[in-house]
Amino acid sequence: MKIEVRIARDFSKFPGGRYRKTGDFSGQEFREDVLHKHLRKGDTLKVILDGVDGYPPSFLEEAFGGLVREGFPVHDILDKIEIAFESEEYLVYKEMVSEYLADAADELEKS
Amino acid sequence: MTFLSALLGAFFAHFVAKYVDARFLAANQKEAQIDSYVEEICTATDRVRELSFEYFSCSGQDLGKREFVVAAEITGTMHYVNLLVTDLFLHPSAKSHNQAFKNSRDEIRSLMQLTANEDGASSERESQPARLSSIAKEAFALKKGIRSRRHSMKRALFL
Repeated sequence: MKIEVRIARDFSKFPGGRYRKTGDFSGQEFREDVLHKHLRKGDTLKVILDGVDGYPPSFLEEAFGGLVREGFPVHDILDKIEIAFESEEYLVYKEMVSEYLADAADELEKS
Repeated sequence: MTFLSALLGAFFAHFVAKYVDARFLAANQKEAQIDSYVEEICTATDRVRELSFEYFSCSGQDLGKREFVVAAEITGTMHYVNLLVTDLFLHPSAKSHNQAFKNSRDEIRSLMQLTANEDGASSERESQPARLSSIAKEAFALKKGIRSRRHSMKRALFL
């Protein structure tokens, strides 16, 4: 079953930074409370980026790159999570997520 | 008959002249709108550069309460630049300029990553003055790229 997660509606219109300790709505919080919850249940997700007035890169890196560091293989992440947008201005954030997934996988391979 | 032909000719010439004037006026308005987008993108990019200079020349502790405010303003202003660039190159009333949009997006992504602290806003963040030259270079590269791609766009009169 594919679950639709609209970040602006289901998480926050104002995503924060990387870690919970620096404030609310961090990338860590999104990964642990939203992505994990669904992935553990075996759901596939459609994460819709629209409706937020800009994403801090640290939020996106920790939310998605963090999954790779936790041991989720990139191909599993790509199979289970579709990053989507309705307005073209969100394409740049989708590209950032792809870059962070690839970078995190590279880092993991090197270490 | 000759009078009628002359009348028709005059009417036609008048109509053509009006049509050409209207096309020129509409094209000029469209060009002015595109130019205003470009200027707004450059102004917003300058704002990002100034904010980033304030942000990275100080530590999180130095900035105090402004740490989170400045970081949020950088994120919001970068998003605005991104929105304007999308409108400039993918506006429904213009032909899409996909390659120009892609090249600009690459520059925006690079600037977004440079102007944001790796761990987000934090009172424990150290200052990073060494980063300022890269930020300046990327901000100027984005402005130069946008201006150059704008000049390569087909003029509105010929669309």
